[in-house]
Amino acid sequence: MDDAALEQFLAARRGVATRIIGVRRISVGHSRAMYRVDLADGAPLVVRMEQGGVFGTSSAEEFRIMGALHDAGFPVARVRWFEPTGTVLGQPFFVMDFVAGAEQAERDVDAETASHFISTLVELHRFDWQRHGLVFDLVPATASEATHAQIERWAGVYRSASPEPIALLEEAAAWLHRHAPPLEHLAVVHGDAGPGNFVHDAGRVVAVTDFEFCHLGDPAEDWAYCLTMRGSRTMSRDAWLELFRSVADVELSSRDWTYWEAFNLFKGACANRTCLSVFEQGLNRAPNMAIIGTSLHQVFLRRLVELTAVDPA
Amino acid sequence: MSTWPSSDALWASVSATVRELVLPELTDEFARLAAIQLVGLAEYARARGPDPADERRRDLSACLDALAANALVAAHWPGRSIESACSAVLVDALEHPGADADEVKVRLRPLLVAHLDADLAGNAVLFGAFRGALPGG
Repeated sequence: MDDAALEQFLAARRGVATRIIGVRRISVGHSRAMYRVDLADGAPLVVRMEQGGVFGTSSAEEFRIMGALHDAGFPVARVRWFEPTGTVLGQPFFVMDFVAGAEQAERDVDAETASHFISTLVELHRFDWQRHGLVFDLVPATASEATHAQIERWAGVYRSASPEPIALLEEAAAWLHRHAPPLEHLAVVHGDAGPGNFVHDAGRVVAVTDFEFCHLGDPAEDWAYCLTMRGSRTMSRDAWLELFRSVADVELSSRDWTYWEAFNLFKGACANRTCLSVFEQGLNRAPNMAIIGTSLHQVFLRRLVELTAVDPA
Repeated sequence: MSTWPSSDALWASVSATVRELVLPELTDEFARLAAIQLVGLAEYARARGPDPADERRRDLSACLDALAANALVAAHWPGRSIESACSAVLVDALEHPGADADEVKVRLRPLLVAHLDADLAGNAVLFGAFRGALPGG
């Protein structure tokens, strides 16, 4: 982190001389580096910086979405400034307010907090994105096209990072298209929902974070993501399902749980593949890039080929 | 005798130095995890054999050649890259159920899955390191 360049950037945006008194990396996230920046004369800020195109997601879209959600009263950090060129810190980044939460392991969530997270996620799913001016990069013409559009989005992300098609991923894309559940209403989907991606304190969600995967689609994607991915080390599957039922009245069929688990594995396998490309090109030489692009990609793909070997039941 | 240190010795040096000298000095959570992952990368680099890509292409090519009478295969092979042909055949097998599709599912697909399993077995050390497990304890 070039502290002097960041000071200049912040001074220009804030309109006052700015002195940084501390910079600390605050998460081990892979697609974005997050730094807490303490200033001599103001509240702490967070710099959320891209990592060479990892996961093929857009800071511009994330910045827009978070801004609109914040303006509408949804619990999300207030975003301040976006630097899209990479000329200041070597990568595009945006700056947002720091939101303090409980000091504990990021996926250590009790039932009260989990319940509030679920009701917050429902609020996001029901968010009137058109009335509040959320502008997404990808807007399906109809709800029924949304899942197919996301399948193609993620297939495109992996294809852009792989010199040759990956046969088992191509098969999975076809399987997902073939078995996509019908959707009647477009919803705002977080895309990476669950413990680790919200700040909480005293049983309440203070801020939902990490909106880089946010899109229009089927809320079932988020429930399955929380159940089988982010939340799997937090609570048992049965405990999550009971909370989904009691708090959000969410009950999916076995077929739909299987489908959306497969969808999320596909999404992860495609996104993870970009890390190998980023690593090989020298855009980010951190060891986690090599690991995500190989081992994690393959772990996701292995589970995916189990699910897609048969029709969802 | 070569005067070059072997690749194995170089990677072993990276692994041992990070493990024994660098890691104990690190207190920052992110830096510690990156150091553990670097040890994982070094151990992976030491243990892996030659790139199996060419051998796998030969296996897949032989498999598709053996399925020349299968209409789904004949539609895509030969005439394109092996990766592209395998992709198209698997997709067609999904979309056109029947005897030919079943044959693809029991002969071509398992070969691709076996390659994936071999990769996973070979890089298990990476997965552990990703989650913060120092290779070898």
